[in-house]
Amino acid sequence: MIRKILIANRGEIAVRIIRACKELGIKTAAIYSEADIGSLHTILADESYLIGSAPSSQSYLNKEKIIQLAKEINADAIHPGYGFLSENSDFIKMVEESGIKFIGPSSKSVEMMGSKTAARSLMQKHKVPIVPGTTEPIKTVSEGLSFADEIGFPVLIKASAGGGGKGMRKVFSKDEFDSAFESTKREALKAFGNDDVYIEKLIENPKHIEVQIIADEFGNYRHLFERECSIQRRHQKIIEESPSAFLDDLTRKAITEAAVNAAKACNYFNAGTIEFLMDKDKKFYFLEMNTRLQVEHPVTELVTGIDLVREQIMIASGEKISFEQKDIQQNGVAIECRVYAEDSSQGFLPSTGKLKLYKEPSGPNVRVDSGVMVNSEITVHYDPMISKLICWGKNRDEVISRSLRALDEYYIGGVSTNISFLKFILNRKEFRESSHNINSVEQKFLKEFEEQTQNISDNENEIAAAILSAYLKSKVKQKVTSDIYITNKWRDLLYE
Amino acid sequence: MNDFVSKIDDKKYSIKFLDESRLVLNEIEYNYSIKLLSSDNFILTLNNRTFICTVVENKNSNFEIVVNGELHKVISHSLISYKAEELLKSKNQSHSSGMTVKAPMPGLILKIKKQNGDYVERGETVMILEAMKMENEIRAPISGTVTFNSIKEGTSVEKNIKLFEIR
Repeated sequence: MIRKILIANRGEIAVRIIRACKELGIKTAAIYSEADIGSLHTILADESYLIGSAPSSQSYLNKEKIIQLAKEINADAIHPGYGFLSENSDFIKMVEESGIKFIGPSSKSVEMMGSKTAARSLMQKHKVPIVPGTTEPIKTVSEGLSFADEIGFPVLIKASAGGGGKGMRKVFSKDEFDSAFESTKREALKAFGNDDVYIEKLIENPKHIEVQIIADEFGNYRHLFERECSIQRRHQKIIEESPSAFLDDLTRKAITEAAVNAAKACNYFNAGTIEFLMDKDKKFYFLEMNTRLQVEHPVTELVTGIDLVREQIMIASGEKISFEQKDIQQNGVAIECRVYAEDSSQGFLPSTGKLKLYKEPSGPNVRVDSGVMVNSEITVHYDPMISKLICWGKNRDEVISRSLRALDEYYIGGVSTNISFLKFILNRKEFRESSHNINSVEQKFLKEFEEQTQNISDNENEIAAAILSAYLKSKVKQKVTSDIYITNKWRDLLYE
Repeated sequence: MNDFVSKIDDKKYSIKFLDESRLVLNEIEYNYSIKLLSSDNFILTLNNRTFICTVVENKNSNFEIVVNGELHKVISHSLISYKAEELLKSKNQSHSSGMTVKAPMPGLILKIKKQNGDYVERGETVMILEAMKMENEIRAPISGTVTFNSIKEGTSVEKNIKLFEIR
């Protein structure tokens, strides 16, 4: 029986896990870095512990310290959330050896799926379709080039240890290969501490379809149907939905079966996701397995009614899965929009600063998962995601209208956000028809969005900013006028 | 005394506050009200529209204001000092209409895509700054000739360090 869980994460996912624990009557212990003093997850948890300084390597990635703390405070289990240590098989092994329960799969399963090349050959063995390409890391440029020639350009160079969209490059011709190879290696080394890369054929304009699976330690496997996450920018998902409007029942049956087979191939237990690429003929290819809870898990929760985090904890406690496959149906449609602190007018640079204003949407069938409140700080140290909006509707049109309505209800001040871009995407014809693919954002929507922003001559928000500035200036002036040393203010007016 | 000029990029807004509830914006009269919501947050009504605005920066004449998730950088002057400044500018052309681009966050200069003296179009990528584990494109805010000062590939920069100038 689990009585206390240490949550080795921060932000919205830490809050999400605390919620599940509280509903189960389990005590929660949060950890936080110096940058996260007083943040929401530390307030909501029963106990919270300062773990180190702001850089992740000193805090949320400090394996020894986290395990040591868990022992000291008598935590029975550790939930890793997503990112950070969630897919770090060394960490999981250390937790297993410490006698503390890891809420997630075994270190062995994670290791099997952690190397993208090893996972590809495992899938091939278990008859799960994979994208044509190498199943071994590529050592040299010339080796890579000759292989790329064999399968034909365009190809993708990917980090073996990669994930979450980091460490991959598209290469369309021979001349680009060299620099793409080097920069992928560089990025891989920096992000994952391992510069192994491999090559895959680029499936042109596919959709990203993934299947949520869950398994217990008694060999019971279930799937919770698919999610579509084709709306991505630089491989970072922005909008996700379930079900996918692109799938028919036959394809759905085939892809969910393949996902369960993939999970079985690595003796998986707990929650996991198998990601696939699907081409226009609905042929699908294994991309990778995420051996953890995912950012977009709420859309599955809303259409199936299953609390995935609760299920994860129960499975880690040694229980069986709480439901039968036949009991699970997809009810309605759910869409998640990720609200990022980004400046869409500055090439989507992360926007840092204090959330001087923060109000979340609400109303029927709206769920918001976030880890911030007023005066929370968006820093350079962590992911710039502020909040996730997850809406449910009877059908896709309804949920799109609801999402647009709810996005309008966010009032976030202090940083720029991508909300206007999210709304722009939800209004695209391609998105409404679900004819979009994983390249639509970068090849089409971004350009159209920029054009639209430039063509608005009467930007109401801009006018509001202009008026408020003048107003504030008028207030300052009145104050200064009463001061004696006003005369030499001219120098200050010479801005750069 | 109640005349102001607010500039956003190259757009100019002439604003005259007639009284507490009426203003003239680019020669059109509006009803308005401005109410402080909480520190740095204001509710602005303009005819029948309501905006919540957050003031991120308010220094001399430089304002950064977030409205509906959009950050607007505004330079606001009283009409008198605006005219004075225009006069100074015309006398000293070399100091005019340039723009300095500063590092929006601390990071590492990964790649500089342009050379000293290159002409860049507005929106073109000038350099790549690695920050928050992502490669971020730093784009030209205006069209013009780019000048790099002491910035080189491979150097780490703090927030607000000058990256380049465009004239």
